[in-house]
Amino acid sequence: MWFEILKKDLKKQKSVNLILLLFITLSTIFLASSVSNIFTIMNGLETYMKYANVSDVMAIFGGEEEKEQFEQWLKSRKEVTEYDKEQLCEIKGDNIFVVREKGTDSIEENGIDFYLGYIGGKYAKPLDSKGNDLVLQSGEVGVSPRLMERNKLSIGDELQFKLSDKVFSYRIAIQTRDIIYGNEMSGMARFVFCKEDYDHMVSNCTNRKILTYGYNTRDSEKTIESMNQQGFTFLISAIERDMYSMLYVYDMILAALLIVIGFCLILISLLILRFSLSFTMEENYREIGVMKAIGMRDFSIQKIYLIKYFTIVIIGAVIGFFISIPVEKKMVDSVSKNMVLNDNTNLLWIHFICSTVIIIFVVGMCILFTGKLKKISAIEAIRNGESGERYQKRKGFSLYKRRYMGTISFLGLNDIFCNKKRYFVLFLTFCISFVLITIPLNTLTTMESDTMASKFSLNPDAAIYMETVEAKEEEPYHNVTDLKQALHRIEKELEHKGYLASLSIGAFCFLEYTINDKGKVIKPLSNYPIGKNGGYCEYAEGEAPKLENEIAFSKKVMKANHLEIGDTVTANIGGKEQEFIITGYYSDYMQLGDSARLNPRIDMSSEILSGYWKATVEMDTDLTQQELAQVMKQEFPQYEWVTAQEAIDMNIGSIKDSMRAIQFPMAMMLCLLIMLISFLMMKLFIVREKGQLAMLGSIGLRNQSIQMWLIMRMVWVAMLSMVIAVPLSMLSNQFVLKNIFAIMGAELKIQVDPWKAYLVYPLILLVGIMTATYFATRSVKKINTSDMKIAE
Amino acid sequence: MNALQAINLCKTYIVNKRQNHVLRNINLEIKENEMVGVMGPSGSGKTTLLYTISGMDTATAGKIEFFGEEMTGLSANQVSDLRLKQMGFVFQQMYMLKNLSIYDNIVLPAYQATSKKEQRKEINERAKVLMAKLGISEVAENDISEVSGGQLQRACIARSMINNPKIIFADEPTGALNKQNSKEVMKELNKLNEEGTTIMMVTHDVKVASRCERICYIEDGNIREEMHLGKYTEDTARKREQELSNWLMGLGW
Repeated sequence: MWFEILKKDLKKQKSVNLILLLFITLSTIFLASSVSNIFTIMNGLETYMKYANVSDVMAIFGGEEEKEQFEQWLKSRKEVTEYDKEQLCEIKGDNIFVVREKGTDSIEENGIDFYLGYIGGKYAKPLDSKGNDLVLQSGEVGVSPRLMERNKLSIGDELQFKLSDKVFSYRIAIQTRDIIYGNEMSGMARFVFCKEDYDHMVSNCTNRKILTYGYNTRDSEKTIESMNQQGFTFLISAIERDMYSMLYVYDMILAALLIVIGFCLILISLLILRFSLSFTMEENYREIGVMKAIGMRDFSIQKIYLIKYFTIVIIGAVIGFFISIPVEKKMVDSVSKNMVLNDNTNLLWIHFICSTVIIIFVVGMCILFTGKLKKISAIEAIRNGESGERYQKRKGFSLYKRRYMGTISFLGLNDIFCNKKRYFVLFLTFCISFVLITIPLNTLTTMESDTMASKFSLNPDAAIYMETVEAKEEEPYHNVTDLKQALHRIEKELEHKGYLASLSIGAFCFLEYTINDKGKVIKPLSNYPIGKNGGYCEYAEGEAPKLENEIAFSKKVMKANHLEIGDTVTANIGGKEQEFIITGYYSDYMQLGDSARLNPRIDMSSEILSGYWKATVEMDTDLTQQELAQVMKQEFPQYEWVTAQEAIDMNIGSIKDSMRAIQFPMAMMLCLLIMLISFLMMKLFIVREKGQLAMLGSIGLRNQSIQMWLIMRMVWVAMLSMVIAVPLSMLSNQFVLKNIFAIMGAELKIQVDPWKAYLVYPLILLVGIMTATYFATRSVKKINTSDMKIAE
Repeated sequence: MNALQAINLCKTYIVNKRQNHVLRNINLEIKENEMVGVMGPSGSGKTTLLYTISGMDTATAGKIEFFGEEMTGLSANQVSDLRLKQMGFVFQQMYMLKNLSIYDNIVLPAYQATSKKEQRKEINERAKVLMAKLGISEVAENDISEVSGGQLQRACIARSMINNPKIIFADEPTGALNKQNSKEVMKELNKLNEEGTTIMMVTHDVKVASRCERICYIEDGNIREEMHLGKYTEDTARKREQELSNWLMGLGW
């Protein structure tokens, strides 16, 4: 008998049951795919490090001169358990060519140092996309996905490498997953060859060779401290394992955003589920009353609904389980370009658990709601859950008091205030959607702002920037004298063509500082300003170091080492111990916020530089940076001219591209989601309010007016949500986005484009809501006078 | 002049692929200012006739004329406008919007009928007069759940009257009321009729029907017979009721 009742019920309440099924399916999809996505990304980096066999410490030497000394030191350290070395050959981007149909193009440098490397190393191994060790034949080269994407390369394309006047051709055989050199954040990119090809290419060339030592140790901190004390002149940097994760900080930003979005979607789906469940249960109140009245036991009635909802939830969860697998794969794909992630099929158990959670949740809710049936009498149930003689006071407004408000607008607004609980779910859903849509939007606006430029030590008011200052065919400069000469030479070249410009540059090196009071040794990136405005910086506190004994540190360094303005540190520069007084601190993204700024007076000529930041060109011009870049590229094609935005993009371009890539689909997805929710909610409202709608039709309200009334409810809810979403979005900027950007090492004021964030996108969502509601309300035309009998 | 005229009006429902002829070639004329009662056994087509003739439902065949204007050719929106501005409706169940007060429910059709916000003042005055006349002024601000059935039905009558309709259609207006409330509601409808409003009413109640000027007896979708009782007066009430009762008994009621 129960199955007969169930069959009839499923058939009779087709639309409501279908809606419930859809929500359960959607909830399962969101929950399973989002949770699985979170797991995949959180475990992803660790897995990638494991596959690539990243050592505890990686020491990079700018030459082979100290090879023997360093290896001896390594052998002498008891805590060092094993080590391996690998050679890389430096090559300028100008000497790497892509063979196209119509000739050859130089590879786009984008501020990256290029290296040639080989397979077979023990640590930081280049892998294939599945995490297997790379296999390359002679004549083949492996290239990282980002480099391939930037240069529009495909598998099978030919690359030429020019080394000491000899040109070597190789075919791209594979996209590598290179944990250090495949990530542009490291500022290094590696072309991988088989060992024989590598030896063949570099054996007779004069290019600088880099030596990387990977070693595992029982005490990284102690080993590094000891290594730093040895005073290896050619040691460029020593990186601990944990630092590698910072290379993926931008991927983490995207992952973090996806996690936030995932949680919001789960919240939305659970809210909707709870709402539709209580709604459909209320819908059945009258029938429950009738069953009670004819003497059926409470549990017998409860059983009917439990069987019904159990059937629906099982079908919905199973469909959702299967759909969530490809959805999760798509979500992970967006962040897995540069990483080797776990095989997703291993995470099927998460999908299974999430589907089970949905089943338990829905059945639990059903038990909870149907449990209420015991408490109400038959007649109360027949009266739709109202207790009979006494009713709750209405909480709406008075129409006649709103003289200048249209009837339809009033009815819509009044309904919301009379049924706050019912519309709260919608309100919350819209609110979350509006806030969610502003997250990638504000992220992008911030990334494209002057604030971002200043955090990358770029003066937004400068005329233009230069990516490199080396003349054509010159190897990268590694000392201050060369850089000073280069700036002078370029200024002359510019003057010769009528551009009176002054150039400045921030040169980098890794100096050791001993904190005088504590004796602690730190080795942040030191920025040495050359030229008038070298090393543009906005100081948070204090001022820029000017005198020979002055220095400034980043806020992160100051905080980590409990330093204050006025404290002193000692550094060995040019073999001389020098004491510096801290004059100020700043907050920027250089070396992920781990840096120092030297004064311009100090003599750094004997220090080996690890690199330099963009050269700032200052001159009088009416042209924008973009326009000037075009002009300079034509006038001085031997140099790479960039705007502030291009310079930022070189560092965070990948995350910006990814953000831009997800922005539109995410907006569309949110729009579709809230359209679906609006449609389904409105369908539920219509089912429930059929009687009232029929009555309004019978007294002469046009169908369009009734439709408009229903649409106006959604419009009011959406507009109220928008109003609340504005401060909520500001809060999310402060507490979510700001913290995400802080991962990069500095505090940053989140920038908002109010026109887009608070008008254009919400308007798109509003139009979506109105369209969906319009389509849902088209069924109003089918309601006739006989439906008045279903009045609440 | 005829307020309403149905010519060969047919209404057929198709249930489970079988035709169910609810109205069969009905011809009915209702004069202006007349109060007509429709009676008949359950399932005879009384309510269908009321809904079809008032434009709430569509006719399968035949013609309906409202004050000389053919209604069957009008668009859905035109029929809606006609119902809003020139017709009033009173139902057995006191259907009202539960999210509005009694007063707001009454003024709603009038507010909706005009696009000019300035006219609202006039509408409010009219509503107050109507409510006072129907004796429900004191419950104006109440919710619909806070008043008695009789008060609610009188509020429904006030709502049906707010746009000064030419005709009121009442479907079992006392069906859900007790004796006292029924009497009060019918008194109001008679008063409205005296003031010039045409009324067409469907009822099962002999006492209620006896207040009508003319009774149409409908059976199997046809008007079988009609009875003229003349204008209602309080002193002839018992006599009219008796006559009607006898007539109905003669028809097998």
